[in-house]
Amino acid sequence: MTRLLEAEDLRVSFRHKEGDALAVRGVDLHVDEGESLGIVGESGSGKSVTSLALMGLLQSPPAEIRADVLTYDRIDLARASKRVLQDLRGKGMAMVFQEPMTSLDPVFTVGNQLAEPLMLHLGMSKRQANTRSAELLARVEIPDPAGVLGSYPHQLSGGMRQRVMIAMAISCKPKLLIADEPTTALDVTIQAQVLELIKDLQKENGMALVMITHDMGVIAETTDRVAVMYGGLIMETAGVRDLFANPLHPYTKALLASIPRPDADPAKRLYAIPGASPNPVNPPSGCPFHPRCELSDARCASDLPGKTITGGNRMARCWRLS
Amino acid sequence: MNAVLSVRELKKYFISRSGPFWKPKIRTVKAVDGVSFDLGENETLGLVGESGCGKSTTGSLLVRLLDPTSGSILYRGTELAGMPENELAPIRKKMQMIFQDPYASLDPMMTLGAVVAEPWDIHGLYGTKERRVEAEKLLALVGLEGDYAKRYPHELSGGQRQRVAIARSLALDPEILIADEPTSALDVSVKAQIINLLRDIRDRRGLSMIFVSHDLGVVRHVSDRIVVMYLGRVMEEGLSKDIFARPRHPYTRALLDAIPLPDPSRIRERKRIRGEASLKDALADACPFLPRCPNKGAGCDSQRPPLAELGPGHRCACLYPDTKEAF
Repeated sequence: MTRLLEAEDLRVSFRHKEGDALAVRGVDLHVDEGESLGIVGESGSGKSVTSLALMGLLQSPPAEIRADVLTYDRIDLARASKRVLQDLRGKGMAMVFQEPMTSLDPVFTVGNQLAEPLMLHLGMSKRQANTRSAELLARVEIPDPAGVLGSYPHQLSGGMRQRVMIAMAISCKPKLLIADEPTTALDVTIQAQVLELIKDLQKENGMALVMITHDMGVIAETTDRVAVMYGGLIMETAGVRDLFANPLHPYTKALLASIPRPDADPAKRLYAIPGASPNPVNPPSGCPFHPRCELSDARCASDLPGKTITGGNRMARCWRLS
Repeated sequence: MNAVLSVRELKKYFISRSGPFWKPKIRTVKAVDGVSFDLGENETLGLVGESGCGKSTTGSLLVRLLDPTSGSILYRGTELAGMPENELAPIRKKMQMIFQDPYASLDPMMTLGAVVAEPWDIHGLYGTKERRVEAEKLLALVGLEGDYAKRYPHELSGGQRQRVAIARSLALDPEILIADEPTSALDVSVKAQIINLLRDIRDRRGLSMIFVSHDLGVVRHVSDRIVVMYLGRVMEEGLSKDIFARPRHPYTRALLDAIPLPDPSRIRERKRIRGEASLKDALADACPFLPRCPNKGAGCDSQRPPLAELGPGHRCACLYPDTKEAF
């Protein structure tokens, strides 16, 4: 399998008046051609910043990005010229964001915005781009594609806007789609439709997928491999079935136990992780989860646990496992 | 069932204007369109549905943050619909609300002690000194012990803010809590804390609760009974355990089937529905769910299916109800 994306020791910090915010504190990850990687975490875990850094979408300053390795298809993203990067985005990797209203331009029609990457990246004429745009809208199951091409984003529902975003993202047949909470703003029946659409498109185009979400249900449904992030670090990586069947890290265990599942016995009290997520400006010493962990001891508070690799391509950062 | 709150044929229509001001297009939006239910003593009723179904509007109507277009809201036999504002104060003491966004519902200029004590201020209860003591007690009750009374909302996390909002809602010792998506803005790990807290407080104080939410997992963990709404109307009503075991309305079924379960090894037979909920697509004398319904058949387009009793306390507005188990 060909390695598409690779990051080693990725670190991202932001200048902040109270000190630097360490959003990503050393993340290793890779995505192979055609596979789906899930990145799951709560707000402030660094999952979105990681994806923006991979896409080269962080403004620097205020962001400061460092990595030992940061490559897409063997192209060094840190050293690549603006032109090369621009060519990569759209054709190589594309992104879908959470809030389609803020990522679509309110003053241009959908047709206009869809045609832009087609003309820019694929050198299509205006007419060709328009025909292709209508096909793309039809592919993402938008009723009345011709009508939608002429409408403005605010005239569409949230679900329709997200479909437009997806059409735009896949328009240049990228090898990798990064989806950052693509269904969080949508109703549950629309979420189901959009997730299915993303999965279908992935299969159809042989596209790799990075699914970033806080929702373990979305992870279970769309990914092959999962990285669980907390406090700017990957706490655990595993195949999706292994992760849910046998979580190794105390944070993963706690997170899974705290989900109010619709198919669970409501008489049973939910496990609640005490406290709140760490502050990236002033992260706790040692393991970032130690203040909330039931199993933590003195070592957890003083030293950051290293990566323990176990069978089946699994990794977890916890002193209990080393 | 001894009802604390009885809602009958409640309606709220909004007038929507669009287009240029000299030639406005005026449309009536039927946000709540004939909703009836009872809330029993010590009972938690979940109001569920997707955006635009009217669940939040219903919540606001109950405490008269909005005035109903028509219909009746009986609180222990007293009619609240149409009651003049000055007579509402003593009843509002008995019905308190918790909102979704704890960042918006707390005044950033007030200390938490002042936030929690404000209801006493409004209703003229306790002296200054007592208020301070009582406010600290309330904050401790929701898990904010220590000097929290002197702090400001910006110093708190989202979960802690929601705790403050809960403390404030308890200040007047209400009978009924109306919680509108109280956990939707919170992280997964914090969500469980707030669900547990609400359950504990409810049980300890014998509160009745209306829990408005789109998250069926959360609803399952707090509600005794559930009302499923779609485009302003009740589609199904029943005991939580019955609805989650065997949803009868095809919309309820689709809602449950749409939830992604955190269990990759599980294969479910799922019914998917196409399209979106839209008042514009809904025909006047037809089932509002008809355009998306997988079960539709003869008669669905000529009447609004009435809520029919399918079992004890289980009612469903469908001519062709489902029979399969949910999970």
